Amino acid sequence: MTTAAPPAPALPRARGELSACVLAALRDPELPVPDLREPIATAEPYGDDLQLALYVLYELHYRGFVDVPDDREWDVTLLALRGLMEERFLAALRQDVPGGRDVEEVFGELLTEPADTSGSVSHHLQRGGDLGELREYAAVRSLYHLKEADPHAWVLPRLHGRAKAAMAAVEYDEFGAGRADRVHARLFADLMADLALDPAYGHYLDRAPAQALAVVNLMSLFGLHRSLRGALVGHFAWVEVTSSPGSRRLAEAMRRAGAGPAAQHFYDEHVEADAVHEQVVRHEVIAGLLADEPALAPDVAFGADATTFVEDRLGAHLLSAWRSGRSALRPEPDEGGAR
Amino acid sequence: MPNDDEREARTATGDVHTAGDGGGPGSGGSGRRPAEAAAAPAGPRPGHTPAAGGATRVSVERGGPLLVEGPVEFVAEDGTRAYSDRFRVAVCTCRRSRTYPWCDTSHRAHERPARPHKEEQ
Repeated sequence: MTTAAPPAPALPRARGELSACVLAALRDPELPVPDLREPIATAEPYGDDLQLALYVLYELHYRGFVDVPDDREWDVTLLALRGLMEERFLAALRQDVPGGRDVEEVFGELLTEPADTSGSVSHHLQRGGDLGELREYAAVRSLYHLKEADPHAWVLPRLHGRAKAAMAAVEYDEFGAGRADRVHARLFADLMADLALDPAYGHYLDRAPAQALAVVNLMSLFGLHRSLRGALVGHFAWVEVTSSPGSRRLAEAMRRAGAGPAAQHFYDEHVEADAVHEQVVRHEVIAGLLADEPALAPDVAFGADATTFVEDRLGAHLLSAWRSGRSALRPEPDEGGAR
Repeated sequence: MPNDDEREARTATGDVHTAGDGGGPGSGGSGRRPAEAAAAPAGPRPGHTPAAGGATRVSVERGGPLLVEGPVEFVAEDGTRAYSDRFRVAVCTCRRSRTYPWCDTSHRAHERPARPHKEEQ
């Protein structure tokens, strides 16, 4: 298997006015971009159109798209558009996420296994998820897992001392501890192949519901803004704290459904790795950051609570689709899709 | 209950055997056992406060795992060995882990269910 850079994905299909304008601008650099302030200000902040437009603009900072020149990443017109959409998204999150909570309260809750698991996707899949649901789950999660830990690497220059050292150590583990075949994104591509999904980066973007785009956009938003470094750290800690028990359930689901060894291994690896990472992130990254910058405590709490908010919305979408016998993916005109 | 009484401490090397003092980028093995365990490093004596000169740092969280700088070879009572080359290794202390000797967060508290006298498992 080669380790050369794989091809960039194709641009997705538009989902409304905003995403259509962004995609048109990316296809044709000469095209004048209309004034989108009004449509952005009135757009549904978690809706398909704004979330896809934002996702596409963020993707320029990761791998970009085929036939879009790399330097469009720093196109000031596109950056200005992105800024307006980020403001809309962030303002909605600030409004919808409870404020004024302290870090210990937030993580105390996350560290307690809930009694009511009826809204939990991993519990649902463990209890009886069929292969079709597992494949949809993996397709939806591939938007993040194929760039696993990339959004969090941006925080490294914004951390110092103990927080930086610990964050770099966890990222080193995420990136395979020096071995390409152990990079977590690569392990996820292997899982997708086991589930007969297409492991190409960005392949399922068109199929991903807005709720799944928002989960990844949240990471990019926090990662790309130094002013949100506290929120990035809180978000990352959320991911690590909740990953280990969830991964155990998903590993069981994969085993029960007869998914292949790579599919099981991805989640088995995360049970063990993230039991370590959550300790390191709480005791060293968060504690180190707040020792340096105690004023960031509300942002750390916000980052974790905002993650709960977007993850709950995604979970509700997946479960309501599956419980009513529908696909959780957006339809593809040509074919049946991942199910 | 939330773990609001977590604390971290540094101690001298405990009962966990560490496999050499490697662990630089790419130096680890992939879960395999070393041909022979390297001798435990000459750590500080018990009671000696930490972690100068290559001592292995072990941190504890009340009710949680021991966090040991890796790589770690764990020798169980019956002589069974487990090996982990992670940069930090979480060693289970509650004995509830399904991936014993490594922590899988099974030590975590469970929220009381709404109905009394029925524990969520």
